[in-house]
Amino acid sequence: MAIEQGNVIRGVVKQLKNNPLPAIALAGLGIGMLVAKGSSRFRMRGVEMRPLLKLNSIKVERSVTIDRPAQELYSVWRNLESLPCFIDHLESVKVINPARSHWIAKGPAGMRLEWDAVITAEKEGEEIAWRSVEGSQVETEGSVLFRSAPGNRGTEINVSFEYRPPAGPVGAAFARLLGRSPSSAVLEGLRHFKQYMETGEIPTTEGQPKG
Amino acid sequence: MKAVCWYGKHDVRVENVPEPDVLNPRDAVVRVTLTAICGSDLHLYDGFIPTLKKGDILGHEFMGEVVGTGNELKNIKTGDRVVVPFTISCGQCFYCRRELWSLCDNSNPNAWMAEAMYGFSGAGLYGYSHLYGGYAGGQAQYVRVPYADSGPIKVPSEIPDEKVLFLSDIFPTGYMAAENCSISPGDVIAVWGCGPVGQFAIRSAFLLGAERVIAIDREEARLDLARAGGAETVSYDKTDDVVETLKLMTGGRGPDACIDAVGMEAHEPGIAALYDRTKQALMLESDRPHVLREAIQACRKGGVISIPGVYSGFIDKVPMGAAFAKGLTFRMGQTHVQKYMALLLERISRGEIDPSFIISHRMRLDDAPEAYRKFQKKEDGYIKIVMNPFQ
Repeated sequence: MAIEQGNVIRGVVKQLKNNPLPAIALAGLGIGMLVAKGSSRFRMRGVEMRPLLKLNSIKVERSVTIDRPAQELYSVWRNLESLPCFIDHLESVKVINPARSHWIAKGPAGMRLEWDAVITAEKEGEEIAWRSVEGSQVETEGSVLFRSAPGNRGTEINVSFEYRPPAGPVGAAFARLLGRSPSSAVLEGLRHFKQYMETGEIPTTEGQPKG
Repeated sequence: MKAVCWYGKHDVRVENVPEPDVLNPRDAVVRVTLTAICGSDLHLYDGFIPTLKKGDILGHEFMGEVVGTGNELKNIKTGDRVVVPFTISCGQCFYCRRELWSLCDNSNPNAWMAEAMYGFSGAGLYGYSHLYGGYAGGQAQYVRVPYADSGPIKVPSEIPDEKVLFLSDIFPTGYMAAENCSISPGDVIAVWGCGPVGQFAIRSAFLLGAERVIAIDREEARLDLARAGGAETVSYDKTDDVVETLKLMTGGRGPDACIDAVGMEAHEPGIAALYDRTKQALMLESDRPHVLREAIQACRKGGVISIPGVYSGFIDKVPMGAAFAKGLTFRMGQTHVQKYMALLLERISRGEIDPSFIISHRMRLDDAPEAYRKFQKKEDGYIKIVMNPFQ
C-alpha cells in the first residue's frame, strides 16, 4: 500500500500547531509507554511543576479490527520508525538495533520525553511485546497482538500495556493529560493506524474554511 | 468565497470565507453550480443537533465542477461535472465494501464524539455538526470533497443540474426508505410527512411496485404534490384518528409498511405533545416521536417500519409492546447514497422520473437567511429551495 508519510506527518503537525491539547490528549500508544521514573530530576523546558501524588499502576486494553491482512499490519507496526506517522504525540522513533529503539515523545508546552525500549517477544505476523530498559526516564511494558478476524473481516488488533503513573513533574504533566482517559487515547492511536492502513490517509478538517 | 454559516438557533448568515484547499491525497475541490437546503438542515437551524460551532458552513446537497484534485485521485479529474453524495465514505472499509456507505468506519475525524454518544461512529457528513465530522458544507461557492474517488458521480452534460442535484440526498433517501419496505405486489405503503423525502418515497414506492401509497401530512400544498405523485392522502386537519382512518382505507389490515419521513421534530396534538415538549424543554427527551408511535400502531402485523426521518437522541413512550406483539421489522439510518446514485441516474436518464418536480423556489445564496426562515415556517409553499452560488 502506498503510504503518504509526508502528507500524514503534515496533517499531524498541522493539528498540533492549531490545537495542541486535543492532539496530545489523543496521544496514542506511546504515551502509555511513558512513565517518568522515581522522583529524581527531570529535564523540562520552561515549565515549573509540582511533584505528584503516587498512584497505582494502570492497565489499558484496546481492540480494533482493520480490514487488511495481519502480516501487512504487523510489518508496518514492526517498522517502528513509521509509528510517529499515525501516533500524534510521537516525535520520532529511532531503531538502534533489531531489539532496541530510542523514543522521543512531545508533551505539553514543548516538553519532550525520551526513553529506550526493547522488544521482549515477537512472533512474525502475530505479536510484538516491549518493555522500557532499566534506568530509563520512562517505564512501561506491553504487547500488541494481531489475529485474523473471522469471515474475511481482516485483522483484530489487541493492545495491552501497563504503566505506573510517575512520581515526577514531567510524568505528572503527561499523566494529567492522559489520566482522564488513557484508554481513549490509545483507541485514537489505533483508529489512526486503521484509517492509514485502510485508506492511505487520516481524515482531517484542519485548514478548511469557516465563517 | 461566499458560504452559508451557522451562528446559532435561527441564525444563519452568508459570509465571506477563504476558499477550501485539498488537504488529503484523495480530496477534490468542487466549484458548486447548484446547492439546496434540506429538511434535515432545519434540525440544525432549530438547534436540535448538538456540536455545531459558530461559523460552521452548512449544506450537504450540492453538485458542480471539479477544479482541484489531490495527487492520489485516479478516476476524477479537473473539469468533471459531478454530484456529491452527502455521506463521506472511504470506499475501503468493511462497511463501504458491503454498500453500507453511511456507516463508513474511517471518514469521521471526530469519531470519538459519536462513540461517546452512540457507542460507534458512522460516516462523516457535510455541514452536519462536529459529531458527524465537522466537514464544511455545500451551501458555498466551493467545497472540499474527501475520498473523491469513492463518492461523487459524473453526470452527462445533456442532463440539467436541476434533474440530477437530488441524487446527492433526497432522491436516494426516499428511494432507500421505499426499498426498506421490501415491497411485494399488492402492498399498500403509508408515508408520514410530505416534505421532499416523503415525496421521493411516494414516487419510489410506485417505482418499486407498490399497489397504493397513502400520504399523511397537514400542509395542503404538500398533500397536493403527493396526489400529483399518485398517492391517496390523509390530512391531520381532517381526521381525529390517523390510525383508524388508515384501517378504514385498507380493509382493516393496516398498511403493509409505514415510512416515517418526519423524524425527531414531529408536530403532534394533545396531551402527548405537552408531554414531549415538556420533556424536551427539560432535556429529558431530545426528540419528539409522534409519527413513530402512530406508525407502530397503524402498521399491519408482520409489517415494516422504515425510518428515513432523522432522530438524534432519546425518545420516550414508544409502544414497544405493540411492535413486539405485531412482529414488526424496523429499518432505518442515514442513506447509503453511493449505493443508489448510478441506479437512480439511470432511471432519470430513461425518463422514469424527473426529480426537479420538487423544486418550489430558486434563489441566490445571498438569500439563504430568508430561505431558511420561510422554509422553517413552511410559508409561501416552500418545499424545496435550490440556490446557485454564483448568481
